[in-house]
Amino acid sequence: MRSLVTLDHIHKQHRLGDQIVHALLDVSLKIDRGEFVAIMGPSGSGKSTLLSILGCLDHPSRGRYLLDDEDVFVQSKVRLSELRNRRIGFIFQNFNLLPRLTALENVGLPLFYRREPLRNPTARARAALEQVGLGGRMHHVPAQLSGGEQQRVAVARAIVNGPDLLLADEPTGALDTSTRDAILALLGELQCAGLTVVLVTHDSEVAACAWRTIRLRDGAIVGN
Amino acid sequence: MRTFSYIYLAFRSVRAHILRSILAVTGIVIGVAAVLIVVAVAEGARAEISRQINSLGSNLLLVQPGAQVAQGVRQQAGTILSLTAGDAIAVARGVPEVVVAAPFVGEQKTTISGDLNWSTLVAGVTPGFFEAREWRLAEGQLFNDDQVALAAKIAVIGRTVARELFRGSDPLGRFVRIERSSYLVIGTLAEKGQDFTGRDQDDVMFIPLSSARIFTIGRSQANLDVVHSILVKTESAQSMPAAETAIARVLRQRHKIVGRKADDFRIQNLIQVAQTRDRAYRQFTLLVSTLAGISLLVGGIGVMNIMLVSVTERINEIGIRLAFGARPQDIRRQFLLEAVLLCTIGGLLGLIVGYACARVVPWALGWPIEFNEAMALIAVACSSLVGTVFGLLPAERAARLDPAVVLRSA
Repeated sequence: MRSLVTLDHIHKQHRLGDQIVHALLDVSLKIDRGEFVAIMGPSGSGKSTLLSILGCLDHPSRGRYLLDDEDVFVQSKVRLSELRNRRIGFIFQNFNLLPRLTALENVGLPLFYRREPLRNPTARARAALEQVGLGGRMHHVPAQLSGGEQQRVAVARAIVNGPDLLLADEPTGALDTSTRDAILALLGELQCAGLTVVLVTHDSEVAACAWRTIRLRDGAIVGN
Repeated sequence: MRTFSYIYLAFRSVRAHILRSILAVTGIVIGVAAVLIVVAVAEGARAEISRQINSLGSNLLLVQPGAQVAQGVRQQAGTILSLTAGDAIAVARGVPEVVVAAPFVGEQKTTISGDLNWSTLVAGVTPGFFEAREWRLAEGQLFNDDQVALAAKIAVIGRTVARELFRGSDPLGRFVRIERSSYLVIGTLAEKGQDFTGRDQDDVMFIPLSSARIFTIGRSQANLDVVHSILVKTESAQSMPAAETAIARVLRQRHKIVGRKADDFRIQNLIQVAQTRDRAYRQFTLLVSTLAGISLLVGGIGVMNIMLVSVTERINEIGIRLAFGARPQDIRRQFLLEAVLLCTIGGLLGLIVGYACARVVPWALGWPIEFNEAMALIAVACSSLVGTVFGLLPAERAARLDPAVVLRSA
């Protein structure tokens, strides 16, 4: 079976003044469909950059990224946004919900940008919220929700369009232990349902939930 | 359907920053209101002018005596009395385009009725004058040719004179005295209002030309046939230039002016005089509304400024939208629609303010106002256009943002 994600000699450089900083140095990896992968490493090791590239948010300086058979970085901006819309879901450390929208509207955001609009997007968003156990708080705005609840809304938003790949950047970094475990359990459930989950963390307890841990140091893979 | 969602999105965003939105569109509000008020005032003035043009009567030429030349210096028009009632008859007979040629004498006189007196223009005319001026009766009757031939002491008075001399009581059948002659009032005239020079046209008393010359006006003059002017009505506006030439020919012949000698009379097209004023007014209107329009542009810059701030402030929101599948054109559309909505709301507020002011101005300042609905539509449409133009740059900036950079800064 082909891997869902194939990264081929990815390099990423930033220019800081006249200095070139290597965020990623020759990273190659494969992630299979249905895997639960944790990316670990100290801060500045390039974890977030790697996740941005996986999420089609950032371009590598060099290298190739295949999502299934599609060579991602030869695609147009429009196609990239379509990939982000339909095939990839994001979860962020600070939730990144739109503060003025209700939970339901936040979850509906990816549906709003679908190329082929659904006949009943609200029902789909509601179903996603029920799936993460927030059926009762749909019309609350983020400020009225606890951190754990906000992250559940974010998870619902990430999965509402039925993506293949769920990318989580320190999803539990802003949560206390019990809510952290609940979110991890939720991610575990989603993974059991067939979703491929990649999460970035520096919490080894979180990484322990994953099947596989990729360790990064100074932009290079040091353990897999 | 999609567009509605975007408009709703824009509406929510405008509402979320209500104070800032209001401040942003103040310039637009003032601009639109200014355009509407200026145009309303100017249109009011022009409507007044066109009413005055209409009150003159149509297709009129005014023949006046020429200026006397005293030792090379030309005096005021009318300083020589070269026109006669005979000239009027000759013009009426000799120029086919002429419908009426009405001789006129007039002088400011004190009129007296009972214990009231009033200084007014006393004019000696023939019935043709009322026809030329298209002047309607309010009550009673006009004098006829027989009464003119008999030099009857009768009068038809204007609205102002009726008011000043009779204070609301019926003037018909009453007498008005001018010096030692008393005239029986047989008719009152319908109101005409001011002419384009601002003179009150209703402040007048008409008496038969013959009676005027015999009893009241110009008794000292040697030639009783002399008149102050001749008002000529032609059959159509097109025939006016031809009539003008023909009248000049007839008068030169009668006055024995030959070769290159200058005319001793002057022919004026009254409508043209009024129209020239109207054109001047229209240009002035254009100038002032252009200035007001510029304030609309300044308002647009204000909106652009706020939109740029808004884009910077909402980088996080833009990043989130991009991360969940918004295309650059979706972001562009969102911010552009927001700017357009903002400016359109400003335009509508300006419409309300402008309309309210247009209501207050005539009441407060006594200027005539003509609120122009078409202009209101244009002004609101212009403000939407301003929103589009000045929304482009902020929207483009938002659309160009790099999602990776945006989320990292969040």
